[in-house]
Amino acid sequence: MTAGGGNLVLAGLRKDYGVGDPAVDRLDLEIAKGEFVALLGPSGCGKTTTLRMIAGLVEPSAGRILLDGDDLTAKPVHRRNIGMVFQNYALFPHMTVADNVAFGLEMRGVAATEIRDRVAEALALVRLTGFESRRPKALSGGQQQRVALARALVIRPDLLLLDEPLSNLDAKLREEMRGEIREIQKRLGITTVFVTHDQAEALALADRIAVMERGRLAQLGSPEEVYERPATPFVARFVGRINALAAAAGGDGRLRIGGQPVPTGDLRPAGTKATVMIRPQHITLSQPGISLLARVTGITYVGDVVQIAVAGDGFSVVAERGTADSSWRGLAVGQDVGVGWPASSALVFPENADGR
Amino acid sequence: MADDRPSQPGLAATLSLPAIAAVSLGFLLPVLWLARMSVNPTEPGGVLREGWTANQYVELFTDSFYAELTLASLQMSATATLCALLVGYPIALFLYRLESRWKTLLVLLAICPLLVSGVVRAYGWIVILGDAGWINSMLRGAGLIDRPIRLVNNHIGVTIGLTESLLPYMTLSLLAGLGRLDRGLEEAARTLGASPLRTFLRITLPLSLPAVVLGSTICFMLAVSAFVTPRLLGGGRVLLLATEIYEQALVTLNWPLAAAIAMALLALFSVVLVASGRLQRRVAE
Repeated sequence: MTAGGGNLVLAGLRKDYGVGDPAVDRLDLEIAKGEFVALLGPSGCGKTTTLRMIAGLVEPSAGRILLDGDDLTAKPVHRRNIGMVFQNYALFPHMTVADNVAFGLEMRGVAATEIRDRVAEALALVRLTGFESRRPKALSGGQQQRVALARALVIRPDLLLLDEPLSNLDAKLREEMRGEIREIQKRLGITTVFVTHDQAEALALADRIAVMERGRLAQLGSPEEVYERPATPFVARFVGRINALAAAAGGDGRLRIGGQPVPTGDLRPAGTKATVMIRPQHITLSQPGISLLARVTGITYVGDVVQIAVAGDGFSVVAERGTADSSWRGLAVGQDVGVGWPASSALVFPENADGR
Repeated sequence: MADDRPSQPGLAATLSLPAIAAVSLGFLLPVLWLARMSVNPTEPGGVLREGWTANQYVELFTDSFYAELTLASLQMSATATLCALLVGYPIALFLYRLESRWKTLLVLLAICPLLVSGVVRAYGWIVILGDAGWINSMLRGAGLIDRPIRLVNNHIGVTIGLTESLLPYMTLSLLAGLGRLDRGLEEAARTLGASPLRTFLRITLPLSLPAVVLGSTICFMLAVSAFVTPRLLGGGRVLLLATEIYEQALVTLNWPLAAAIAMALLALFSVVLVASGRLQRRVAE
């Protein structure tokens, strides 16, 4: 099975509903042929509106959408040749699985014999051969998801859009489908835009992640870039867990928390306030006397990892250890510990970096 | 999934007692009384006598007048139902999709004709459709016609009046039955390459068929039994089963025959209900 892959460009895309801030504002994004990009953000960040504008279901207030240099902005939905998988799958309840998958081909006037072959091929791709005459309601959630995927892919779209396709599945199935979607996307080499609010999903699936915040693009980068070098405190908080500490620079330019200097890579003008952010797995706990003094306030065993909450003078952080690492086993609530981290793993943002 | 609540058939029966009583007193007893009445012998001048005869039914099934009457009734009801469907469908679809705080108000507006008595509405139509009514005055004023177009006291007037009186019921039943329609399905069809028209024909219409069957059944029954509108807008020139029952009961004073026609109408309803139920199951698949 083949599918075209197009190069997608969003230029100055904007959607204004007339009340409040625009849902999407000045969005510029270029997605290469065959690339898998995740639009990641909390609900209301404009990611779904963006996806629907690309599909043609929402009309942009300003800006342009280009696919392989072809301006789609004014093109009606049904002439765009874009495959879309909806959050609730939107399978036609009055048609069989085969008719659902054949629908897009029928609309394109494909000959009946070719339709039969291509439907069979698409169902084989999503491992649903033998389910042709079932009705959607006789399928499990995961199977419905596969039919939706087959229906979107069988038309050989230039672009595949996925709107939170995994959010209605249970955790185990979600992980399975995650791998399957990635594998099919790679095999077909189809340009894909994936909307999700689940940062783990975005990190695991995407070539690049576009983190959106209140209608704007907060950061665009590879999963490693977005996780390790977040551009803003918002991105740092949204992608993965992180500790945020309020610090102020002392006379020597070193950042201090509650008067004690903390490890960071850079010096700041005296008196400036900053937010220091550290991932839980980078926090080191040692004998008291070294680094910041704190006391253990809670230990939460989560299975793969154990989370150790500690609080000191003017700060509290959570450290995380893999349960294979036994160093945490001696710890008890109420015990004094020294809290530190490698200076290279601390992310320092000026205060109000989020513009709030 | 199993229902864990203990079943309480006794309680359910007790709670439905008022409903059972209402149906028995208001429907079953009168129907039984009618059935009995329909087999009483008739005497000239409307004198009632207790007895047993099948004369009324023999007359009903042999006199071609009643066959024509039944056909006319079915035709008129089907036409009015179809008109109400054609007018009501777009209204219901619009109201169903509306996401506005005015939605409730607009739904109320659509059904508010029910607040006005059928007699008043029929006279309203006479004012609009009559020979000296608004429509004819306008057309004459514009010089389009010399003589008034007959819009009342004939089938046209009755069809218009019936359609209007059925419209609120049609709109309400369609609205209630459109539950399976999901905007996302239409959007999915559009992304798959279906034009708005083909989306309507392949997705919207098939999924709304159960609502169409429901609305049409209700309206058809109401139309067959409608009496006030055909009587007033037909001016005695439009003969239907319902008007004939009135005629026999109150003018000719032939109660047994009126009762027999009513029983025949009841049988007709049962047939329509069964057929509609079958159709409903077919289209709901």
